This record gives sequence, structure tokens and C-alpha cells, in this order.
Amino acid sequence: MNKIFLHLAALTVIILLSKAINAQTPTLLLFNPDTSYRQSSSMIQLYGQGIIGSNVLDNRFIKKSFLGGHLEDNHLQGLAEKMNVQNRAGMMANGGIDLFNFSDTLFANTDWGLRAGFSTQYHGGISFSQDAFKTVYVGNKSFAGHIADLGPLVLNYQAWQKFGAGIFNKKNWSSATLSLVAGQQYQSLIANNVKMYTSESGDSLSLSYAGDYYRSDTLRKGFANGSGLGLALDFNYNIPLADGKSIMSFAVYDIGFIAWNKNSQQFTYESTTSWTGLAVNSVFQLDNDSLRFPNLRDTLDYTKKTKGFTAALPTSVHVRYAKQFHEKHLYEVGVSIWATRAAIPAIYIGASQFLCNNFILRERISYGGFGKFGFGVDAQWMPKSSWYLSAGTSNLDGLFTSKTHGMSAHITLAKFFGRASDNEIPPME
Amino acid sequence: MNLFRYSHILVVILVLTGCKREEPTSWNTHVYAPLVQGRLTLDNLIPDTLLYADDNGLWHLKVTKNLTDFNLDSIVTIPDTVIRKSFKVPINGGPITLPNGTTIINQHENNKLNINDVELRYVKMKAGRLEYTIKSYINGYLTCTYNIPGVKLNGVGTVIQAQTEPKQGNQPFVFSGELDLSGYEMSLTGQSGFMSNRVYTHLSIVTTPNSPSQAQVYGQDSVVVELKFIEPVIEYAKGYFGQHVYNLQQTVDITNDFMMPTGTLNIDQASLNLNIVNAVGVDAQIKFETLAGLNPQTDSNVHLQHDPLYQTINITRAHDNNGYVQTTQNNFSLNNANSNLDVFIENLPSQLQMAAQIKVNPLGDQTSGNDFIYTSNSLQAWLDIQVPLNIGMHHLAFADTLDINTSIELVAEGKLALQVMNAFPFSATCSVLILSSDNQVLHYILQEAPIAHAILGYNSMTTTPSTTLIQIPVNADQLREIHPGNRFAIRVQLDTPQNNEHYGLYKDYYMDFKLIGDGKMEVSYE
Repeated sequence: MNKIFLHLAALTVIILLSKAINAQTPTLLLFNPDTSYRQSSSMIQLYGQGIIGSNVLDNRFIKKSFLGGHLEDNHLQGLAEKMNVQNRAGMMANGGIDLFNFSDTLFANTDWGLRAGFSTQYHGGISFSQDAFKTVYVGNKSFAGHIADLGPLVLNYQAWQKFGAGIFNKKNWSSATLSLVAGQQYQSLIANNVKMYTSESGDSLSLSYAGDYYRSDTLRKGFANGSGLGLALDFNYNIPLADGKSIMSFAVYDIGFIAWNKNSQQFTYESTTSWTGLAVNSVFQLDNDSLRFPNLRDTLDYTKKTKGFTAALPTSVHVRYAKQFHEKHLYEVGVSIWATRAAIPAIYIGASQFLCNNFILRERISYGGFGKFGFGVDAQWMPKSSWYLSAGTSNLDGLFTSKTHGMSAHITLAKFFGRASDNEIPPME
Repeated sequence: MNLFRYSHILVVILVLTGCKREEPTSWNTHVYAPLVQGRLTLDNLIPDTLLYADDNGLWHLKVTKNLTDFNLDSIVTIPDTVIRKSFKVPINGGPITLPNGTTIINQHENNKLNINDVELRYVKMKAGRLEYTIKSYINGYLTCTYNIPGVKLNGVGTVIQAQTEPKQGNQPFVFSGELDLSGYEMSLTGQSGFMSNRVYTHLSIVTTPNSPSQAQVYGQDSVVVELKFIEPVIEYAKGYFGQHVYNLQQTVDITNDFMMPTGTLNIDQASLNLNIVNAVGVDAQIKFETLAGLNPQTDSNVHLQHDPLYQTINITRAHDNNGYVQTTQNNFSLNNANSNLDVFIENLPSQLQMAAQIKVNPLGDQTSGNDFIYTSNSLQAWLDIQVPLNIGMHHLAFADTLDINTSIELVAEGKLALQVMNAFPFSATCSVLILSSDNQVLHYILQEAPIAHAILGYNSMTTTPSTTLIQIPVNADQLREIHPGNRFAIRVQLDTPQNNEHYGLYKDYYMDFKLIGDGKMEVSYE
């Protein structure tokens, strides 16, 4: 029973952790020859997407880090040995609900309608050195007599909720949405210079460090707690090309900011700390003393300011070219870029097959993002043109083996309501 | 409605993201780091009160102790005393109606305190209470004035005044109160001024002027006055304290709870001073029957041998010059030459056993009742032992136990490296054990690990430190035993290179130590 629950939890985490390369308009909605759904008066869409990955950390490490369990010595040693000098890992997740109104005519233009939505977003990433991983997970023994270069160490995490309203094109699903953003949590550590020296005999440690750490109001916790307030713009522009069988898509999400409140904190670190052991002179009077080892926070020198600050949202840019070569076959190529040091641009190439008018099976090969190569599949289905279902993953291998470097999943459920007979939309040309 | 129907899917997803993990994430990391470091000097091992360094930096062991006050203040104590007097109306028959303002009783009394064998004339009180009760069995309003002029506070005598009401049937009217005797002076010479142990009182009872009714008095009606001295403590007393002979037997801790070492100590020289200081205005004689040092760990005692100590010691009375007391002293100086002091000290005593006979005023009342005592400073015997730490040691062992107050939430496997730099001219072996609550040995962390001695310089004062590295295996089983209820036991055994030679212990000598952790430690987070 516990295992079932753990798997359910893992599946849920995977589903919710992302906004990845599946962020753009579904191909079935763009290329489906059956466009009768556009005669609906409205559509409600529920979705959840998630991705987690790393260029060096494998899924076994990721699963145990999130779900618990003991990380074996040889596993950690193997990861440490295969690492690059600088490495990355990250996660993204979102979930939400969107309402599309097909019955609107905006400024007398029947092609455009109104949309509104609510979503919750989570975004985190870390860029770390091989020495930092080895020090934390393997230990500092191997650095005896040497300097471990623990920097650059970049860690960021941001959680926010969006309440948006905007317009969308009923023919090609291009859209623009302006959202009010409620900041839930923000943490950012940038430490470019962190070095630790372990003496050969182990009788002293020395840590030099310089960096900045920002965090939002720690007194407010949980969902939509109002720690920050901001604005965000999302654009999605799908351009049907002249051949009538190709579409070029540009999407930019989360252009915006959050102003975190005045109880937010900024820490600046720059010092060198040495540790030669806890000084105990009266060992025969220990029962009168409290023998307490200082924790790391006690030994670090820092300056702290409590005041508000503004931080940009992690904007992402997506470009895709899709072409229908045959009425049953569709090919696409694209790139996604995120404004974070924890991810590199992700490129992908994919093929889709119309197994029937309302059903597409898509395969993709991708490289980049938080992780490395990924082989993805998804299925999109529009039964009776009144429902839209989509589910899939960008890391199919991640479901079957723990040796790969990422996991992802996405699921969308949409329902079309009513018929706007007086507002019939022709097929996309 | 459709929106509501499908929104439950999102709710389920959100709830599941909040699920808690059932086990922590953990891993083993190899920690190689200094844990503890410090410097031990001799004053870390022996309390400051027992140690000082001379001008050459040589440590001296010093024990200064007030051995006894010979219980001399006990002969001038006042026990709890109750004085109860019944005053009867001096008429027959009745009832007789008495006009307001008529004196019924006018009585002077010398009340004897419950004191034996001592003739006190004056005392000053440090503590105690005087409870008084006046019971009127007279059917009338009375004004009772009870004067105790000899019991004074700040020079003013005590007056107890009570307005009593008529008795109710056979139930008397009761008036009561209490005085705190702290700071009170009491003249105990009675009305005449020539008596002892007597408190003079005067009772006057008058029918109350302007009372609502006149008193109806029968012959034999009475007023009862009761005085209770409760837990009186004397600060100063004067009088004749009498002739007394009593025996004293005491065992005194002379090391202030310092756990004396076991083993063999060879000292070069030592001195002992016994100073008997008399701040009491009485003559006395003391004859010691026993003065012995007891080592409870070995259950061995050594009698201190010095003939003059065991002869009758005549103690001359002190003089009181208006509160400034001129004491008299009898001093005895012992050393290796005139006593067995070296053997006495090498027994490593932590207690001194004493037996003595004390005679107070052996010649009787020599001052016509002017003996005095300030109870906070009476007859005392001060012991002063000084031992220059120029010593030889053989298996001299210090041992202590430490209660474990907190658990170590640590899973580790590896070793600790103890680096010791020793500048003392003695070697040591260290043992550290974990004991259960019923003193069973659970684990040896260290078992007689040797620490090398320093090399003595040409001037026998400086040393070249030696370095010792001790490897201590640590495993999860040991760490699990570190929890409240169990204890650490530490034993350090010291040896000079030659037991029969003397080595000076100087202030500059030290033992530096560093404890370095080198092992795999489990790290986890929830």
C-alpha cells in the first residue's frame, strides 16, 4: 500500500513539475482537419505539466532526493566521477485552468475571442561544481591537503500564481495574456567564489566565500500567501505559412516581475572562516558546561537587510516549425530557452501521425534543458470534437530506468461547450 | 456546473503534491575535520582554590580549611520557653461593680527563662519570635498594659497594650500578637538588675475609662498572660557561661569535594599549620585525642604525629573592646622534620578525623559574670596545608564521570584521531568508557591509551614536549549508547619517569590536544 502511494506521489510530482517543451499550442488543435470544435461557444481546459532533470544526476538520485531513501556510496561516487566541472539540475511545474470563449467577437473581429485563466507555477534550478557535489555527498576526505572549489554555486527557486485575462485567435490559437501575479516564495543564492581547504592532517578547515542570498518573507507560508505582487505577459503567436501546410510558432511566457514585500531578506556573504575544533579547556568540568557545536550559520559572516526587492520571473522563449508532409504525417523541429543558469537551450525534433482524424501520436527526441537526451511520446485525442485529451512525456526512458537524467509528464483535459452557430469559424488556411 | 465538476481533478493533484515522505533522504559522507581542541594545565585538573604558583612558577597545593568551631556557641542557646501567668482580682465574693478607671491588678514579675548551667545577663537576638496572649475572664471592659522594659528594640522597651471586652459566658476575651525578635536586646537581670536568666515584666489592668458599661467583678476572676519564646537565636551573649566539659568528634572534608586521586604520590616537602583562634570571652582547655587523615577510596587513615598537639592546650579568653574583639591564638607548625606530615599527605586524604575534649572556664567565674560570645565568630581551628608540587608519581589516577544529558543523533563509522602534545614531565594513560545506569561497562572508547612524557631540560624546569597520536575506532554501536541515563567514565593515570625522584610541576607545563574526526557520517533530511 505504501509503495502504491509512493508511486502515486511520484507520478503526481512528475506531472506537476514543469512547463517544458510541450508548452506551445498542441499540434492537434493546429492541424486537425476536423475544425467543428471551433463552433463551440466556449472551452474549459485543465492541465498539469512537470519536468525535472539534470545533465549529471540520474533519476535514482532524483527520486530518492524527493521521495526519500538511502543514497548508496558507490552510486554517489559514480555520479561524482562522471561530473563536469560545472553541472546543472532543475525542475519546473505548473497546473491550472483556462477558459476560452469562442462566442465573443472582439472589436467586431470574429477571429478573436477572450480567454481567462488561473495557474500555479514552480520553478527551481541549481548550478553546481563537481567539487561541491563531492564535498557534500562523498565527503571532504579526498580533498585533504587541497582546495575544493565549491563555486560557482547558483540556486534559485520561485513559486507564484497567475490570474490572467487576454485574447486568443480562434483560427490559429495565437494569444496574448496579461496576468496579475501573486508571489508565493522566492529564494536565490549566487555564490561565485566559494573555496574550502582541508588540511592534510585534518586539524583545520578553512572556508572562503562571497555571494548574495535573497529570500522572500519567511513568515508567510503556503499557497497564494501574498508575499509578493507582480505582473506577467504571455504571448503565443502561431503563423500559418504560405504553403498551407506549415506553421511557425513563437511563444514567450512569463515576461514580468514580482515585487516581494518589505519583510523579504537580503544576505551578503564575503569572508573567510577557519575551524580548528571546539575549544574545550576544562574537560574535567564538562558536566558544568553545555558542549554545543556551532552550526554553519553561526560561523558564517554576513550582513543582513530586511527590505523588499523586485525579481524578474523566469521568462522562457519557444520557437517551433511544424510541417505536414502528408495528410497523415506531421514533422516538427524547435528550440526552447529558459532564463536560468540551471538550463541550457533545449532543441527537439519530432514526428506525429494522425491515426485517425481526431487522434495524433507524437514522438520526439530532445536534447538540453535541465537534462540531456530525452525520447518523448504523447497522444492527443479529440473525441466527438467536444473533448480534448492529451497526455505524454518528454522522457519516456525515465519511466523505465533510473539511469537516465530526467522525468517529465504532461496532461491536459479540455471540454468544448455549446455551439456558436452564428459564429462559424472556417478551417485554418 | 461543468467547471465545478472538473475542478476536483485539479484539487486532487494539488492535495497529492502536499503528501509527506515516509522516510528521510540519507547518505554517508566522509567527514575529515577537527572536532575538539584545547590545552590542559594543572589548574584545569585541580580546582583554583587548592592551587597556586610561586614566584618561580612552581605549583603548590594549598588547603585552607576551618576545621571546627568546637560547638562553643551551643552552651549559650536559649531553648523555646513558655511563660504563663494568671493574675487574680484581689477581692472576695461579688459581684462588685467597679467604676470606670479603677485599677484592678498592678503586678511586677521576674520571669525565669528555661536556661540551665549558664547565667546570662544580656543577650542580643539574631532571630526568633515572641508570641503573646492575654485572656480576660472578667465581665467588663479593661485596659491591660504589659510592660517588658528589658526587651528592647533600638533602645525602646516593649509595651503590649490590649483593650479587652467582657467575657462571654465562660469564654474569655482573647487578645494575641507576635514580635519578631531579630535585632532585639534582652536584659536578663530582673527588676533588681543583679539577677540572671530573668525577664522583668509589669502588668497593669484598669477598667476602661468611658466604657459603655461598668465592670461586674467577682473575687477570683482572672487575667491570664502567656509569653512564648520560639526558636530564639542569640547573636551576642554576656554573663557567666559556667564550667563545662564535653567531647568533640568530627570528620571534615578538607578538599572541597575535589575527587582526590588514587595511586602513589611521593612528595619532597610540605608544611601544615594548625591555628586555634579564640574570639570568645572564656578560658578553655583543648586536648586532642585524634587527628587523622582519611582516604575513603583506600579506607586508610594516617594519624598525624606531633607531640605538642596532643598535650593540653590552654586557650586564653579574648577581650571585647566595645565590639572589637581581640582574639587569642595557639599556633602549631608541622613539617617533615617534626612530624610524619609527608606520610600523612602521601596517603592522599580527603577527610580529617578529629576527636578532642574541651573544658570551658576550667578555673570558674574569673570575670564576675563578664564572659561573652559573638556566635558568628567563636573558637575556631584553622588548618593550612601547603605542598610544593615537587613530586614523584606512580599510577596516580584521576577519575571522574560525566552524566550524558543529550542523545547524539548521529550514525557514523570510522575513527577519531587524538593528537596530544605533552609538556609535563610525566606520562599518562587515558581510559574513556561508556557506563550504563547500573555501572556496567558498555563500551571502551579508549582503553589505557599511553601518552608519552616530555623530556626534562638541563635546568629541571623546562621541557621538550612529546607528541602522541592515538587512533580511536568509532562505530554506530558506540554512538547509540550515548544517551541520557548512561555516563562517560574518564580515568587518567599519571607516572613520572622515576617514582622515587621528584619532578617539579611548573605553571608553563601544558598538554595540548586535538580530536580529529575521520569517518563516514550519515546525513539525512526529512
